[in-house]
Amino acid sequence: MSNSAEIVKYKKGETIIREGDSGDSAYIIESGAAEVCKSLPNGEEQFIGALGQSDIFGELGWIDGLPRSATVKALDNCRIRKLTPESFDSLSKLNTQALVPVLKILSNRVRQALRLLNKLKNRQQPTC
Amino acid sequence: MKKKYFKKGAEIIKEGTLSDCAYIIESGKVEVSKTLSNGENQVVCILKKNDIFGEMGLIDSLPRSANVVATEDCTISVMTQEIFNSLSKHKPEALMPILKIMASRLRGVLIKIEGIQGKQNLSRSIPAGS
Repeated sequence: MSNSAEIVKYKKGETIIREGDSGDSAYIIESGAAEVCKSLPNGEEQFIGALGQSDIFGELGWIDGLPRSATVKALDNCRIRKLTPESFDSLSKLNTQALVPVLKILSNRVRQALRLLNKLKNRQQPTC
Repeated sequence: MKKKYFKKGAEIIKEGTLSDCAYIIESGKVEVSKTLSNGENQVVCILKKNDIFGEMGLIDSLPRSANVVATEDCTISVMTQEIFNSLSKHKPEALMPILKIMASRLRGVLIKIEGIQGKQNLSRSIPAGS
């Protein structure tokens, strides 16, 4: 993707990003797998999904700098390409091919989230 | 970009139909709503001048995810697939606002999901988007 990206290694079980933390880097998994979890209101941790090679995560913080919306932990030893805010700034200028894939990932996530929201709202409808 | 005019009450986008363009509001306001399974229309938000909508269709060509209706007379610029493709090749920085809007929309929906889940006290999957 970008030249200003570094490779970082994480051991199995290590936390890569933590929900609520500030963070402005995105990550692409070069090798290995990671799991995504969220804290529920009752304090439990809920497994959301697993990510593997070529999956991107942390892109929201990379784009808007707001707190992480989930925790990501290495499921096994991982090599992860870290995309810094600097590479985001240069994204549109230097690497024109990278923008559309990121847009597609976001679009996909928005649609998934909207489907889930719809499901939850439909469940809220009172049944007579 | 071409400009289109919509009178108050006019339907701009219908949920479920094919997508082929994005819209930028030059003047006026629109209401975004979703049709629930019981047929009810649920308002999601109101958009105004300089707001973009319909952009997801340009990116993935999937059916429209919501209804958009003009709540007052509107002037709206239309970004076609052709313009979008040309921008992503020759002037990608022009698409950065779309990237930021999508990130903000995703966060907005995730917050709503958390709100409902908090009330329902359910354990459900949330799409990864950290």
